[in-house]
Amino acid sequence: MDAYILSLTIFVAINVALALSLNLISGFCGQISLGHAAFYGTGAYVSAILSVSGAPFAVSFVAGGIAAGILGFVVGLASLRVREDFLAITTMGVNFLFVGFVRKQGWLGGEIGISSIPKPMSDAGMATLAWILVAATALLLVAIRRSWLGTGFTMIAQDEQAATSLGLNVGRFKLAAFVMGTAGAGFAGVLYAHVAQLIVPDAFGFVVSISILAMVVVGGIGSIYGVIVGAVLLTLLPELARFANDYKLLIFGALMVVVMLISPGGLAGAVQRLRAR
Amino acid sequence: MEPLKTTSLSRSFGGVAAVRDVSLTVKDRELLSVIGPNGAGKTTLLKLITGQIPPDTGKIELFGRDVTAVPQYARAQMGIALTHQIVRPFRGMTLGENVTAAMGHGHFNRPVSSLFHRPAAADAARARELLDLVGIGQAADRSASEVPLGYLKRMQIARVLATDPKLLLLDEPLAGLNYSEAGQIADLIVRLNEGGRTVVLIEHNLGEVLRISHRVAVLDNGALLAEGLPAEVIARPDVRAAYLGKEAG
Repeated sequence: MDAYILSLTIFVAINVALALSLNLISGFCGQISLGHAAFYGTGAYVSAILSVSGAPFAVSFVAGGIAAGILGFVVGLASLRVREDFLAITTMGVNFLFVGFVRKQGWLGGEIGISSIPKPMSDAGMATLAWILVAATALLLVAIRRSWLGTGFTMIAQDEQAATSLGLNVGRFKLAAFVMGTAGAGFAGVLYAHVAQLIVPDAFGFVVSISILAMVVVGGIGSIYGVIVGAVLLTLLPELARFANDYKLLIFGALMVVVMLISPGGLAGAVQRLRAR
Repeated sequence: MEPLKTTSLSRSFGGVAAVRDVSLTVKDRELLSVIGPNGAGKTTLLKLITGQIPPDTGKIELFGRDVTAVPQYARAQMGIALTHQIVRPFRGMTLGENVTAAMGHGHFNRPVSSLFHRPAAADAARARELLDLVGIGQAADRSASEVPLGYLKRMQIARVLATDPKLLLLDEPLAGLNYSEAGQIADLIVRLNEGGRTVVLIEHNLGEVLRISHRVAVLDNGALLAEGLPAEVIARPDVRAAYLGKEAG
């Protein structure tokens, strides 16, 4: 396969995994996060440091996901104390904190980041691994949706007080959503770091968080297949048209506005309405 | 062992005392109604009992255990259930799904374990039975966002019954219902009580309260004004004054 296509395939998979992991937190559990790139970056930086230090890729992979999940647990604790709109602002702050912190750390490469991250396998192998991560994340989401855990998430998303009065331990369930979703972002970050072999702070900035959110919103927040389609489309769009790449943020922003106005359920919602006719 | 006992319970909001020094005991299998004019503190008292808000002072015991510092979800898991004055359906679900969701209460404290258990067909069937019990089984597949208030009030009762509660706290379940619907729901409350459940009812519909209650407690300005048999309590001049104005006394 052409090297460019293979590389594109990997980045599509990474974005799909990112969008699915955010969908677990925001779509399933209703906790709007505007800082998902911080967890993506945590996985990337932790694994990069380990791999550059000579650790086996398997160790870097697991450590990146766990580190992101631990940070997600801490941010999740904040979600127990703030209202939904304040949570969005809190997570946005976490993203700025992450980038600001990394930029000033010499041991993390500062502004110029970490380079020469060893590639553990061929591009084809990385692509396979990336799509295995996508499949695993999607299957986890399907399993969650069918389980009492998914029911609990839906109850929280729709009416937290009613859920609590029915005996749901809302705090624990929210933390579970944060830990699983952020760990997923961390694993995606590990793959990104080892495919790109160079990471810089801006690769995990607020704009990236908003781009991931755009994939979720355009695909259909809460829908598994919709978010996969949304992530694929919004990753490929800038690659297919030069114009789209130049005006990527403008297009993503406009798409979110249009989706909210025309089909708040995103592409998945639109398909559902068409089927119902 | 009493299902519910409050001792010197008080709660203020700013400078306003919503509940003042309320000591109340609810006996096993009793149907106790808490009445009082608007703003008397009835809903605040229920919120204190369920743990939605903490008291400033005082103690709450459920089934003999001091739960004053126990969070709301844990109290619900002890077998108390609340239907809300302003209905709180999960609007993205059908009525049947609302009730089925509550049947997972045994899994609601352990997220990891709950991932490995899923709602079964039997849960949906049981939810349908509960909706039949409250008289809206035929609407099980209708969305909670499109049914009338009366359906949602009934669904709320079915939903809390799905958690198999020992103590039912019903906050104005008859409000907004017509005469016939109110009578049906009141009869249902009696049946639930006769089935072995202790019931605390907060209600403005005095006719139904007097008809179905074993005992009545009256709140006025946050304080317990009177308690006793319905006919005796409602005949007291101070209770009539609180309800109808001072000239009535």
